[in-house]
Amino acid sequence: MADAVPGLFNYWVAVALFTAGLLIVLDSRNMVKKLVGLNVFQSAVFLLFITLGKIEGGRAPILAEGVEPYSNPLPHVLILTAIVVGVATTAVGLALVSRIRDAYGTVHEDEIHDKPHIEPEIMP
Amino acid sequence: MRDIAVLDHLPILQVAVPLLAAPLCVLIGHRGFSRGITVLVAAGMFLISLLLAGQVYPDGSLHYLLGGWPAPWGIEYRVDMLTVAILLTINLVNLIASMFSISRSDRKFNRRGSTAFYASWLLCVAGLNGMVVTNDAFNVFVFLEISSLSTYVLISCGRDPKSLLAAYRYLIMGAVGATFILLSIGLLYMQAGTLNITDLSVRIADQGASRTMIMALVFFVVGIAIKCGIMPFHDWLPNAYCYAPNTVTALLSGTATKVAIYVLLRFMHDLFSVGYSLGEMPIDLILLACAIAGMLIAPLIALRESSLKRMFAWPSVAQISYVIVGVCLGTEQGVAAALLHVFNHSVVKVMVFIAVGILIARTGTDRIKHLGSVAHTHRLASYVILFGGLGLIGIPGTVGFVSKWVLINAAVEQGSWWLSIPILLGSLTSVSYIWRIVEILWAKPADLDLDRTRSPITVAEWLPLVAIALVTLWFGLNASLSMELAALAASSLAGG
Amino acid sequence: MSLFVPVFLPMLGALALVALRRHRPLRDAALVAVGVLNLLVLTIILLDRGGGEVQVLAEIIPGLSLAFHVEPLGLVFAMTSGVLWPLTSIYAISYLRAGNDPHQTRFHALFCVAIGSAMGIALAENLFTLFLFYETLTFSTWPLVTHSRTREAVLAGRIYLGVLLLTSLMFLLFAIVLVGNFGESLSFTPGGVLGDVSPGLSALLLVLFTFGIGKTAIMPFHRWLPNAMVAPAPVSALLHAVAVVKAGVFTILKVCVYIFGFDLMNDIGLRDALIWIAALTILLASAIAMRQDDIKARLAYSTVSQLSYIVLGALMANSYALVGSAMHITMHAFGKITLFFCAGAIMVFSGRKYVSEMDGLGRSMPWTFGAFLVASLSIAGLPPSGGLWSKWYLALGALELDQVALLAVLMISSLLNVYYLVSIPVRAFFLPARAGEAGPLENRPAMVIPLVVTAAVSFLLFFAAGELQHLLAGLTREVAS
Repeated sequence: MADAVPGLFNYWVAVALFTAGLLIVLDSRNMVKKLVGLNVFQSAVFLLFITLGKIEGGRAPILAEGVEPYSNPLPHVLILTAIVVGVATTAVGLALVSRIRDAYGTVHEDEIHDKPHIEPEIMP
Repeated sequence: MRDIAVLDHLPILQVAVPLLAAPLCVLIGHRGFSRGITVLVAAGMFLISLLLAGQVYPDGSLHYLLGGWPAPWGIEYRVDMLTVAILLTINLVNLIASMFSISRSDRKFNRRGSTAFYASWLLCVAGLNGMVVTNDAFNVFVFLEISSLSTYVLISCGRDPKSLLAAYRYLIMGAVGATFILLSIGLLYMQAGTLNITDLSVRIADQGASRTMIMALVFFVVGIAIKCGIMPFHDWLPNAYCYAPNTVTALLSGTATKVAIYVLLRFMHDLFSVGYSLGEMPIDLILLACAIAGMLIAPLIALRESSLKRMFAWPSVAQISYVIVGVCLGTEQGVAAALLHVFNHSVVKVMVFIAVGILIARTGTDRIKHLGSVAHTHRLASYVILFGGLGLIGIPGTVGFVSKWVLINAAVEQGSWWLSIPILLGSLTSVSYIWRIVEILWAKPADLDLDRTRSPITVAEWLPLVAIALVTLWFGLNASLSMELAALAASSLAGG
Repeated sequence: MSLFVPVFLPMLGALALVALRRHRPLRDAALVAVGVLNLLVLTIILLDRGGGEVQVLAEIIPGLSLAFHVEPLGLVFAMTSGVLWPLTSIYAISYLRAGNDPHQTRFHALFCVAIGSAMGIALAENLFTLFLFYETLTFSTWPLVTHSRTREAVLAGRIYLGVLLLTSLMFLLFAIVLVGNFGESLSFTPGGVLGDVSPGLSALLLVLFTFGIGKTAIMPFHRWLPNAMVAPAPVSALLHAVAVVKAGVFTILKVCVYIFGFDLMNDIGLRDALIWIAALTILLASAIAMRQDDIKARLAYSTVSQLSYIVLGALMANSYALVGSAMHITMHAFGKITLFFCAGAIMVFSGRKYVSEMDGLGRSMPWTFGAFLVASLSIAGLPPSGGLWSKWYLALGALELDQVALLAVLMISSLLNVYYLVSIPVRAFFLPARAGEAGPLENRPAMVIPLVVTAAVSFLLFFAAGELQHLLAGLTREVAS
């Protein structure tokens, strides 16, 4: 148990980021901050994935003599994809927020809710 | 021998065709072209699904290796009866919905926006199909995100600025759910060192339960529950369905949650195995509690809605609950009932939303209180809504009855006869909101100047509507084909 | 003769009516023609018994098929509805024209669908087919109940649909599911299909069926029937005195005979409790009927009471009671439809609908009140009328069970019937008119002739009961063996 904290250091960091990110997503009323929280939250998972592949003393996986032991490259590749997905999500999210600002003049959820609900008029 | 070669590559074509058509839309930038190609691609994809069905029927399976790399290292696409059943469902829905999508613009943008809309549509469909055909856990995540991101864009195209808020909320919930799924996949990789679903299931079975597995299962179930819209995680669904353009609602209602159900089935029954996820872990009890809450509460909320589209969003929450009951029974009959309900609900829902879309486009409002006596001027749409409503209740002679009957029988056979009580009670509560609409559409004095709302119904509106209505009618009266497919699909899942 | 014809002929007739909606005389002629044609088809079926085999229309899923067959109970129900339909059509055409109703085509078309559904119920070979048409009947009659579109009608429609769907979806469907899973099949089989179910389950099933078939209007699920009286008189006459309510009691009879079988029925201990609920319904509904001044409400509660005779007969589960119940379907149908025709005629001719307003009206409307008198004698079961025989057999059935108390219930109810039904024509003929004599009012022969015909048949059935018993003889032999 003594080295549960230092030995599993990477996991603790991931857990901390995970919780913090999720808290921001759930708690923040500011739409941009929510997206920031989402990014922190996703980073935690990325970090967890990457540390899976790392072996102590492992080197870059190059097919050559003497490169032994080497780190598993697959998680890196996967996370590269996941990061791209994350960036895309953020981009779509920010685009939506910017459109929301155009439409409502604010990016704060409470202020949007405070606006009186206008029922769409009956169109001919 | 060239055409034979094409037939060999059908699994990848199912995904690649829409994926390639999407950028083409944007590059050419012509609205007519985009519309045409969307429908054409939809037809082609339905054809591909049919061909795939022909190849694996009755109990075969196809393994397609991407780039020729063998399975555990390369990415493998797998097509079996279960895959085919879901593919047929979503591609039928897509075909109908895309025909309807070219009808009249209920969107608010110009020509360039329109091409982007169709590009997103194609990407969404590509993602959904990809999730179904792939046999690689990480690939599931990637396709999930492709379909989700394009769905957010599609939802935000609605007329009402609230569609932006709906899209944003869905994005936040969807991204959290997807990250949960990603985390679950990471944990699985940590435990078993592979991403191929078949390979994973074998290795996990060898290694037995562990804390990592528990975490993986829990994160997965929560993540996919958000995507399915199961009761406590359904928050995004009514808003998304309500404010999205009518055509997008039609597409989403029949595809997005259904594919999520497929992934749930694949993971719970195949990857984690039934014995683990339902036997050792009490996932079935938790999901059943959610499902029963969903099938009883959702209709009551629907009764209080003031918007027609939002009201018809709630049955999706309710009906997914019936599917979950089937999934949680853990028997082959249960899975078959769930799949049958997936198909039946998809066709009913896309039909109802097309009819609702036609009605809203004519009357210019989706406030229920303004729709008095509309049925007398908009007969086709109103009768289809009535027919769909009867299907949602589960009146005999409709598809809804068939799948509920099969589901109740599966429950009784599995020994959980008490489950038939909430199922029947759920049908009963759905009567209330369906009949509220029927009363208003037929018997409430008119509020609008009905003669001014009259306008001829176009081919792109009535053709998909009538087509899907006929399909629904047929499978309600003669369910032997859908039953057989569902049974084969269920046995292909159970047989691994 | 194909059994699909009587089921789908009326439905096709509905389409024809919609197609002919712009040509009123042609449309109305078509309505009567379809009715007569349907009766002809039924007569052919009655004579050759449909060849005796099961005719499958479609198999929806394995074990769940849409199939029809012919058996004596179904014939009684189908023939009763079939004979009364053309008469009602003639009456309804005249009634709606008198009121200048703007939605006549819709009314007649839905009427056709309802009759087709009733035929489907009568000829159903299994519980699923029966349930399908049972629900079709519910849905097709809802627009008829709410025909006037007034607030009152819509509210009544809500209760109508609410009660009927609550009972059918919650109890009846549940019972059918249980039969499907634990019984041998869903088909109606002489001797029953519940060979080896546990006593607890069979008792549960009996309760579910008794209350699940809400169309029998057994208390406490009877409220829909008085509410349905907001509908136009022809609807109350044919549907809420014959087709819909008889569909209910017919279903329970059929379930008792062909799903449970009389042997099993007599083993279910809970059955006696249900018998007493039916008996209580008979008495309570009569008591409520006495206090109704609105003539249609009074007739509705009388119907509630009379329907429970049939439920009672079905639950008593012996061959006398079976004959009595089956006969009562016909006897009560002819009597009650006459009464509703009369109520509608009084409404149209004199504008009155309360019993207290009818003093002296008989001298202005002799035919109507004469028919009313004959029909109320039949309902009360007094000679010379057909109603005597059904009550006679029911009484024999009660004696067979050694239930003298039930006999007393039947007697008391008959006395109450005399009091609250026969009193109406008596007042009309013998009490002086309050607002002076009105002179002859019966100026629409198309409304008077049908009610005279049905009253005459009620009377003639006194002599023809033997034919009915002959028709049912085969069934009672099967049950007894």
